[in-house]
Amino acid sequence: MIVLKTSDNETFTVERDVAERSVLIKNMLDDIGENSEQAIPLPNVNSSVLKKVLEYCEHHRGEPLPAADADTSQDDTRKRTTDISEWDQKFITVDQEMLFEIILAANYLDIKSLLDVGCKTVANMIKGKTPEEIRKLFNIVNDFTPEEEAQIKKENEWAEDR
Amino acid sequence: MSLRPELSDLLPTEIYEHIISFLYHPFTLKSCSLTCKAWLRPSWKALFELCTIRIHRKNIDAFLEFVELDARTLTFIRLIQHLHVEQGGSKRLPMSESQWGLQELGDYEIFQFDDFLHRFVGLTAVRTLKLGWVRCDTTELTSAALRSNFARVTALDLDSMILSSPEHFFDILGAFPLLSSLSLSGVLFNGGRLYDGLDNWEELDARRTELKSTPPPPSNLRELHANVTEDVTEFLFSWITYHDISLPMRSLACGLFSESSNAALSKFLAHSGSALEDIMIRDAHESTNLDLSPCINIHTLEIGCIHLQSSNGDQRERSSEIFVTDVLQTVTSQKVEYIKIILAISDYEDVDDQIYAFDWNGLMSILRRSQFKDVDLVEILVSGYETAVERVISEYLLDLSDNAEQRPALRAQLHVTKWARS
Repeated sequence: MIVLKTSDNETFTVERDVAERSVLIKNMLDDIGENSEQAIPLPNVNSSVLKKVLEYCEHHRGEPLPAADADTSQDDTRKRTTDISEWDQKFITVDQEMLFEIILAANYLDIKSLLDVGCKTVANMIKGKTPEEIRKLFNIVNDFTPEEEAQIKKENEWAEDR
Repeated sequence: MSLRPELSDLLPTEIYEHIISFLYHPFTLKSCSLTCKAWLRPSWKALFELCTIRIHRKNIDAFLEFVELDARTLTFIRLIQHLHVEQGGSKRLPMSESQWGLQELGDYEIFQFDDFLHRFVGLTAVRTLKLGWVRCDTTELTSAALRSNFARVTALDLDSMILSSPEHFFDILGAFPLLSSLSLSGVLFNGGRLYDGLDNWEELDARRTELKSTPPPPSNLRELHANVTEDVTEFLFSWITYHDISLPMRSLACGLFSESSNAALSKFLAHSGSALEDIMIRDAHESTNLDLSPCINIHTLEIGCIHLQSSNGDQRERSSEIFVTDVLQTVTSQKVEYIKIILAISDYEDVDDQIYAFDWNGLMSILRRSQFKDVDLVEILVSGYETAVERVISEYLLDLSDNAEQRPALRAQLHVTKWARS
């Protein structure tokens, strides 16, 4: 069993194969050796988020991990944003703040499949929105000048569907 | 609802980029590109992965303005992945005297590859390139420009190109050392047909021995789609086989025209056919000498379009009726999952005569072989008269008295649909 310690000082005891869904934790365990009993600190993840992340890892334990050097950029199926399994969809149906906390945690813990599920969900939220609506959703400031915006619109006109 | 600023500030750029990489709608990606400066590049990267830029004589000047601008600032030019360039106009149009002096007839907007392609700089992301409408009017200037500006292209599509010679073809092909996909559509050599005008076999053989001076095919070629005439088909397969290089071919589309072009194809298959997974036979004229037996990994096989003839036709026409059977008889792959057969039924002959003329017995007999029992779907696409074809298939299924228990399996495999020419 492995002990994980969150940013709010809570500890979680989990089975090694569940914890090792995270490449970060796996590498740490490889570094500190088999028999270490010390808790692994996760200063960027709080307990409520880690609880959700571990729920995901528990459900997906035993599934093959993506190869470290896997190039998924050409994989068309990866692009289908609606292509999220039923369980994952139910799992990721959380409030917006928790969704982004999960994405940040998946990125930090290096859990690629969870990062994909979170990012696909956000991509689905963006679908069909205008620039202004997207900025509002993410709290982004528009840093384009009107001239720059006009130029981008002009260049976008070149894009036709294949 | 907006994200709390504390959280949005925490999100690193690479997460936004990852989110954008899952989008596949041009409208949304264009919106993303206008969101903020940090989102522009990843949005364009995803947008131009989806879209093809088409350049022709009407928009070449506007396009080249962006090419020049890209040398100074980020434009979409460096993110284009799929480019289609079509020549237009000609320097060789006849001239005429008019009241304004000597003028070309008809075409003033000349976009010739020789003059313009060297200016296509900075298109470093292009992987798919389609070139079209060459009429023996390009020289080594074009291939030199392709070599310097498009060396990273992996998929090349030559469309409607009349080339002065096979050397001209190899000159262009040599510009793309990373080629894995080659599509040829309406490509002709020698300003027309390759072997035309040769009236004796010695001269024809002499032409064929010119293969000695040809370069080898791209070693990473995985896809070859050739929608070309019989002579070019024969030349292509003879050329590839001549160089004795085992290619990692996965997908092949070509026509079956004559005994000699089929023989060239079969030699090629014996050499490089073992890894082929998808075979598409487009022009179905002649099945003699075709041998698919070396292709032990075929997953999908498409045959057609076959123009059905009534049984009153002459011997050559009647071969269309057994074409599919002849082809399928040579298949040895145990991995076939999908067979597509396209049948054209003429409105000007008796429909039933044409449908009954097809060798349904032969088809069903082959499909009952153990190697085809796991085929998920045998799709029969017809140009019309789907109900009549369904009826005839049902009749032939009923006639399977010796193996009645195989009827439901065969019925489940066979699916008749209307063919829409794409």
